[in-house]
Amino acid sequence: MSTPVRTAAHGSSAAPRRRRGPSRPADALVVTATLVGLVLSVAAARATRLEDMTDLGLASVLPVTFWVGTALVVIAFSVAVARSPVAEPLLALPTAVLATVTFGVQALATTVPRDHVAFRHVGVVDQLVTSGAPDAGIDVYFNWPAFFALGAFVRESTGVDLLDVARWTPLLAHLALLLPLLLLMRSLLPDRRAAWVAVWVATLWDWVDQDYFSPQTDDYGLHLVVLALVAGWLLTERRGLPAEPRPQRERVSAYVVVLGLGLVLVPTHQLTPVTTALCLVALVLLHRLRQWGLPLVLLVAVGVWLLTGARTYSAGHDLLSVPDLTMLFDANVGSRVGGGSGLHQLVVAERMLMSAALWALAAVGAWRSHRAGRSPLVHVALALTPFVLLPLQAYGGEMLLRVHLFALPGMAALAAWQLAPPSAGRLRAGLAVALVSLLAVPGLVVARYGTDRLEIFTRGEVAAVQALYDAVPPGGLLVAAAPQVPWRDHDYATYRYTTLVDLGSQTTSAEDVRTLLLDRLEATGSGGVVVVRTAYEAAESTGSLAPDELANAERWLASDPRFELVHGSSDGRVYVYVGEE
Amino acid sequence: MDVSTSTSVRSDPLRWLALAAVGVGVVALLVPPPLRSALVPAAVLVAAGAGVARLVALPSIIASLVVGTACSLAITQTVSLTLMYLGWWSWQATLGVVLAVAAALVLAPRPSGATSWLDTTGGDHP
Repeated sequence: MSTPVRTAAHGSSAAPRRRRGPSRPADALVVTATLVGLVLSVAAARATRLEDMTDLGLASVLPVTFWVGTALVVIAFSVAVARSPVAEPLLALPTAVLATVTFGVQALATTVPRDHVAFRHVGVVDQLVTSGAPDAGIDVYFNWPAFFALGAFVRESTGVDLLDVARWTPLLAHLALLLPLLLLMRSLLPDRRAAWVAVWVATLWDWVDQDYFSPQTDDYGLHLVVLALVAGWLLTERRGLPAEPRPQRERVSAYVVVLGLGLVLVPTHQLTPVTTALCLVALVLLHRLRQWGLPLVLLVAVGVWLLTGARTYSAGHDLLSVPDLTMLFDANVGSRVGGGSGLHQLVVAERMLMSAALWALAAVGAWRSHRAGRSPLVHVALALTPFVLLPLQAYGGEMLLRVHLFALPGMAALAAWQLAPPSAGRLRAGLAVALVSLLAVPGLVVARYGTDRLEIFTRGEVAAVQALYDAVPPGGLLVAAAPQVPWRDHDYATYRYTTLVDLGSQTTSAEDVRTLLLDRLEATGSGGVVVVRTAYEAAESTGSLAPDELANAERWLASDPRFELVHGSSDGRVYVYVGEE
Repeated sequence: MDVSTSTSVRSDPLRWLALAAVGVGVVALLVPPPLRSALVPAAVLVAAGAGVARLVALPSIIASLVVGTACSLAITQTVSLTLMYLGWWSWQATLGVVLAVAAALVLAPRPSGATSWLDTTGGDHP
C-alpha cells in the first residue's frame, strides 16, 4: 500500500520541481540580493553621521551604500513578483527587509528614541504607574489612556526601559503590520502576487510618521485587523466579485472578534474608532456589509466614552461646533507649505507629491479593475472614506496626514491593481514594481525623515534636560526654547512645562516674552530654561523662532543675574532661575 | 464538557499550547527579572492568543496569528485599564487576570462544527 503512495507523492513533487527548475537561479538571486541589501543598509545606517544632517533630513547623510542596499531589496522583490508560480516566502523576505531597513534606520543610527512626542508618551506611562489610575484632568492623554495602561503593564512586569522600546517601536510596528495588511489584501485582490505588491506599496508609502510609541500606532494595527476580518469574512464580495458567504461559524467568530477589537479601539485613541466606524458605514451603504450593527455599536461606544472616560476632555471642548473650512485648510495645508528653509519646503512639497502620486496610481488602478470586470467599490470605499474626516476637525494641523494613513490600505490595493493586474504579464508586473519602487524608496526616506534635524536627539541633549530636572525642585517651571525637546519622559505631572515658542504666541515682542517668562518664574518660585541644539534647528528649519531671536534670548539668559548657568555643552545649556540677588 | 478526556494534543493543540503558556505565566509571577522580562510577554501573547485562536478557529494560519496576537494585546490592555479605573492596578493583578481569562478560554469547549487550519489541510484560503 505504501509504495504507490510514495510513488505518487514522488511523482507529484517531481513535476512542480521541474516547473520550478528555471526559477532556481532567480530564487537564489532574490534571497542573495535581499540579504546583501540588508547587510549594506544596516551597516550604512550604523555609519551615518547625524551631525552633518541638513534640512533634507536623514537622506542628506545616509551613505551611498544605504541606497545601494535598498535598491538591491527592490530588485529582489521585483524579481520575486516576476516569478511564476508565485512563491510567497520570496515575496515576504524582501518586504520584511524593506520594512526593517526603512523604518529601523533611525534606531540603528542613534541610541536615543526619535521624536519628542515619544518621550512624552513614556512620561504618561510613568505617571500612570506612579498614580495607579488615570487622572483625566492632567491632559488629553489621560482621557484615552488604554495604550498607556498597556505600557504600564509592560514596563512594570518586564522591567524594560520604555525609552528603549520607543526607539525600536517604528520598526516593530511596521513588521507587525505586515500580516494584517496581507490578510486584508488577500481579500481585496485577485491573486497572491497582487496582494503582496499591495503590502509592499502600503509599506513604501507609509511616510506619515505615525508609527512611534503612541496610541495611534496601537490603534492603527487593530483598525487593520478589523478591516481584514470584515473584508475576509463578512463582506458580500471578495476580490471584486460577489462571494459565497463564509460558513456561519466563521462569520460569527469574525463578527465577535471585530466587535471586541472595535470596542478596544475606543478608549485608546480619539480618531481611529471614528475612522473604523466610518469605513464600515460606507461598506453598509454600498450594500457590501450586511452587519449594520457593527458601525452602530462602535459609534455609540465612541459617544459613551466621550460622556464617561473622556468627559473631562468633552467638557472643555465644543464637540458639536461647525468647523471653519478656511481655518481647516490653513491648519492642514497652508501652515505646512509656508515658512521654513528652502530644503524644508522641498520636503513638504515632496510629501505632497508622494501622496498625489499614490492617489493617481490608485485612480488608474480603480479604472483598470472596473475594466477587468471586478468591482473596485470596496477598495474605493476604504481609500476615500477617511477623507470625510478632513472637514470635521483640524486635529492640530495633522488631519491630512491621518487621512493619508487611513486611506493607505485602500489606495495601496488599488495601486496594486495597476502595478500587477492578473491580465498583465508577470515580467511587466515585475518591471513596473521595480521602476515605481526605485523612485518611491528615496521618496519615502525624504518624506518620512525630512524633519529629523528636529526629531533626532543626542545623548548630550538628553543629559542637558536631565540637568534641568536635577537643578529644579518638583513643582518648578521647566522652560524649553521650542517644543522639540526630549523631556517629560518622567515627572510628567510634578513639574509645570512651557516653551518660549508658547510664550511668544501670547505676546508680540521679544521683550514681552522675557517679561512673561520672569513673571511665570517668579509666580512659581523656581524653574529653569533649557536650550538644546534642536531648538536652533527648529528655529532655522520651521521658522517658529527667528534664529537671532533665540540667540538673543540665550545671551540675555547668560548675562542676567537672575539666571545661573548650571550645565553647558554644545548640545544644550541649562539656566536656572535664582531670583533677585 | 469533560475537558480532561475530550481533547488530546493532536485534536486541539492550541488548547495545550495555551495551557502551557498559562503555566509559564504563573511561573513569571514568581521569578524576578531578567527571567521575568522574557516570560511575561511570551506567556501573555501565547496564552491569550492561542486561547482566542482555538475558539475563533478561522481556516487560515495567518488569520489565526493575526487574531490571536491582536486579541492578546487587546485583552491585556483592557484588563490593565479596567484595573486602573477600579483602583486595583498592579502588574501582578493584571497578569493574574489575563491568565485567568486565558484559562477560561482554554477550558471553554470549542463550538461544534469548528474547523480550522489545524483540522484540515494546513493551508490558507486561496
